[in-house]
Amino acid sequence: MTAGDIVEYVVKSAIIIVFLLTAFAYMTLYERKLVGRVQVRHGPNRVGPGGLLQPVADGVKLLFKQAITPRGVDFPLYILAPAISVVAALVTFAVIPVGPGGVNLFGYRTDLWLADLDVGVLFVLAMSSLGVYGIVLAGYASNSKYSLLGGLRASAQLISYELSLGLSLVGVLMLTGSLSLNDIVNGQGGTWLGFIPRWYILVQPLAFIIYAISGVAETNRAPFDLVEAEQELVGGYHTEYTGLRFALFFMAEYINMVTISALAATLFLGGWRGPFFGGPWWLLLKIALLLTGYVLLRATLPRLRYDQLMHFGWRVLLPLSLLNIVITAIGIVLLG
Amino acid sequence: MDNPVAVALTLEDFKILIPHAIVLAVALLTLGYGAIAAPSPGRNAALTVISVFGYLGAIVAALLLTGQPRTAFSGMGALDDMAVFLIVVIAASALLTVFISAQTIPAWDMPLGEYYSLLAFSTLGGMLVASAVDLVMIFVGIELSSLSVFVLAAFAKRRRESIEGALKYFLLSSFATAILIYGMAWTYGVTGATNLNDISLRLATYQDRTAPTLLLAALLLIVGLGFKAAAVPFHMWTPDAYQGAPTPVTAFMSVAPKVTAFAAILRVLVQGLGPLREQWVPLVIVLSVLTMALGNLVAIAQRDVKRMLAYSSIAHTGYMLVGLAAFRQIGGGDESIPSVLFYNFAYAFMNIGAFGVLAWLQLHGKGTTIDDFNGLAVTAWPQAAAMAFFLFSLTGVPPLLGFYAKYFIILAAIEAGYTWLAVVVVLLSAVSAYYYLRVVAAMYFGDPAGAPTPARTRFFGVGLGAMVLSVALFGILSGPVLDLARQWYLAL
Amino acid sequence: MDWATIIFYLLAAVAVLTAAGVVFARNPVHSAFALVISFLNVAGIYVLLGAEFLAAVQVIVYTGAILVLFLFVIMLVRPEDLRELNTAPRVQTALAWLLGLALFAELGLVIATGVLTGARGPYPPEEVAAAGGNTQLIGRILYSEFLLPFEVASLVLLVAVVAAVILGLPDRFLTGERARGLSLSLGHPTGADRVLEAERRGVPAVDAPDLGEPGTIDTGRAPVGAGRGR
Repeated sequence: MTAGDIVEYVVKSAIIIVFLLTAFAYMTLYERKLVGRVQVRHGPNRVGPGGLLQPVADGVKLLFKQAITPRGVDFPLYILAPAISVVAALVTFAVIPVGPGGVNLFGYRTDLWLADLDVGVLFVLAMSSLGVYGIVLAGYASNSKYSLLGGLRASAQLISYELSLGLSLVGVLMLTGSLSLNDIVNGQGGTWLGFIPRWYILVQPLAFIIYAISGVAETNRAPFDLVEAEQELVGGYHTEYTGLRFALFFMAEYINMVTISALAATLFLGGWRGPFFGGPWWLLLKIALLLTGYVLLRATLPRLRYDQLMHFGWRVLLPLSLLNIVITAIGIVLLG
Repeated sequence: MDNPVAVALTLEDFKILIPHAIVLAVALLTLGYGAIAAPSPGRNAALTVISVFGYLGAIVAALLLTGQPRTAFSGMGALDDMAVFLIVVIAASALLTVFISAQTIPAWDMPLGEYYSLLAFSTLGGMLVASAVDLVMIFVGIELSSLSVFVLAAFAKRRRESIEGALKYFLLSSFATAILIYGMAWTYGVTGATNLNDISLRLATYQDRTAPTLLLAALLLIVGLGFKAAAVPFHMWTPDAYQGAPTPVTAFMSVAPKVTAFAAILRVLVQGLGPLREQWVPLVIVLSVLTMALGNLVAIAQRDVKRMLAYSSIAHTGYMLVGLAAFRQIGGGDESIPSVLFYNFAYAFMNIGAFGVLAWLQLHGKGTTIDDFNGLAVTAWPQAAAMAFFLFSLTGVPPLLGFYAKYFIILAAIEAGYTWLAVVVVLLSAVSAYYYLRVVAAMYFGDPAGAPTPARTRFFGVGLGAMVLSVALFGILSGPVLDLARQWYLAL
Repeated sequence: MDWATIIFYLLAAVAVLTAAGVVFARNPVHSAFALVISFLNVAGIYVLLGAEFLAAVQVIVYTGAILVLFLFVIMLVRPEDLRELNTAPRVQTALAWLLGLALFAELGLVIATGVLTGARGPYPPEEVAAAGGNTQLIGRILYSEFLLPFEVASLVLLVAVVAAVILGLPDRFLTGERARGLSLSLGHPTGADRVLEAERRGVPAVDAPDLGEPGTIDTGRAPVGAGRGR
């Protein structure tokens, strides 16, 4: 590994992190605006032109808020928990290819991904499973009933839905024969009949639906946002967090949404591939589309009850995802 | 893509698994049917019938496959004659346990379907160990067998002792499992193989058989397996787990996991680490003496017959270890391993029998202390006679099965040059006569303390009768049984 | 020393230190978390050995699933209740230390003096590369050479599920005269509201219940998570 390589990695990482943080900031604004429209309101429109500087104002506000540490917390874990959440959320993006390999950028030849792991998909699952610790530990370390119950709910939900999330990917993996996200994107190149892109969503519609639902549950978003059911649990696992530490949890949630969307785009929607032009812009477009779906879900659907949530995960989604694997296996054997 | 792992899996491979498949079917059927059907006497009878015929089928299937040793699943499993022998012993002990459980378990408000299912899973684990020739296979088999037994031990979950005993068993067993798997890891690290035959071949080529790494591997394996067999420094869980479990479970626990452990010991130490004989035999001798001494001496002090039988089962482990210590080489003329196998066989019948009578007493409103046996000969002579029969056999009174078992062990020890060890066996057997015969004395000379309350015990009669018959019959027919145990050597 | 060696020692040191932390930490949650870190470092060692698949699975299964469930259980236990367990006599504690240290010394001695003459395993890196990567090779070996133990392992898991149901369910669902249908309530902590008194039968001699009535909830107990230690 030469010094040049190291610089390359650092620069790429920095770009990804900056992108994710910007996406997080403007996602909050986008969400408030869109939900406002659905509810026939304007949404934030005071700070900057059309409210465009609202995220900056929010950021500054959170930064300067007093960092309150409640009495009786388990301090090391209390501090560590938000950090774990954010790091797990950020790291996941490393394996997602945003464009083709071997591109000339400003006279420098490089690949448009940070890392192409043999076990890329498993890496994503592993990192998302580590994110659970942020939530569990936050719930425990806060020394508060609401936090503990929120943390327990969150982790139970994450574990339950992670199974169907992981299993819904197996169909795609069977079609590709590889765990590398790069290979998966390349497997979706080309078209049928000259105009239908060979995206896996067309071959694996059931898997995509399962993935989408589990993905929403994984990020603890409406209608699966029992974790922060304010009527029951105040704020859930981050009840006792203020200021920057709270902001970190907030950030992790939105970055996770971006990552889940990016992964959906990569696995089922052809990644950066698309007609007319390929590369990062297509991926960005797909991510934005999926995020809009997220927001619309939140704006329209009421929250589930806890037993409904568990029931749905274990008795509906899990068997369906297993069924999908069986169907895919039969299809592969029959059709070659 | 070329395939570097060319393994052909044919239908022939599955032939060695026929007995196992039958027991697996029993496990799944009883589990499924027990869960669907509402509890009723008819359902319970059906469950019992499924189990009985399943184990009978497994025994018959195994016996039909004798004399044609076959290795399958790329060297993972084999159905040689030793496997057949041990499978028959394990399946028979499960069968006998079914007879003494059929009425006790429902009477004590425990779910019969799950009970039979776990019993079958444990049996299956034992059978898999018996027919395993690979460390990995032995490991998963032992795990399957003991995991089911943990739950069975906790089956009377409303009694504190049952949970306590099961928890002790579980925690200590997990610890022992860790040691066992560490030993397997060292063995693999040194020899580069998990297949026992390969390990044996590679060890035979080593010049320095006292290398610390080899000794450590053998030591860890012996400790781990010694725990599963309840040999003495590792026996701490036994009395509590045995006493806490429901009595039919104790009957099973004292036999099947022990036979499973001995199956693993024979496979690992004899078939795998055979070339290291000189290194592990001294250890086994120490273990056997400790086990016999402590088991027998502590049993004397017990007033509770269930606990007494628990310690006596430790003592019997010691006798079996004596047989193992007499091992010299694989091949004709060596009587040590056949004697161990025969002891396992004999032990299954007499020990389950003794626990069976105990369960019968409990079902009739009595306790398990020695006072509960007072005057049993008057109030229930057949059960008293059966109990006396089993206890005489456990003591080693000729011409019962237990006598021949001890006789072969002693013979093997003397042939191997350990005359003093044979003397220890005889002396401690004499000691054991004290606490076994005390129960017999109470039954025949004690004052009856109230008749047992009546209860339905149809299956008990069959089971106890079968065991009495076996103890008498196999004692006389010990020659052919021993021959079966001997044949394994010739095939290796 | 090349980079790989340095990284190995780093990972190994952290793994060992946190493993010690598991044993010595006073707070069970800290113990569990130390174990998480230890497992992560072990996964790192797997990566160094070229077993990426194993590393990923180690993280997903051990840290992602098993240890989260550990934490779950530990968080619901009050540490004050645990202290009572540590009541071994001094002699026993001393003996445990002595034997533990002896074993430790023994292992250290063997590792220091013993030359691992280990034969080379059957799957060297060239073999792995020929199969198209370690994921592919593990998959193939698992479903051919190790098929039997692999399937038996699934039975072990089945038994574990059955065990959890038997030990965890209230007796009403296991032996009651009523149909056992799918009537569990996930909203209740014990899975069922009450045990029907009418279902109790005559009391047998030894294996009779003496733990109080099943299914009753001790309402005197403080709510979960309250009053934890610092």
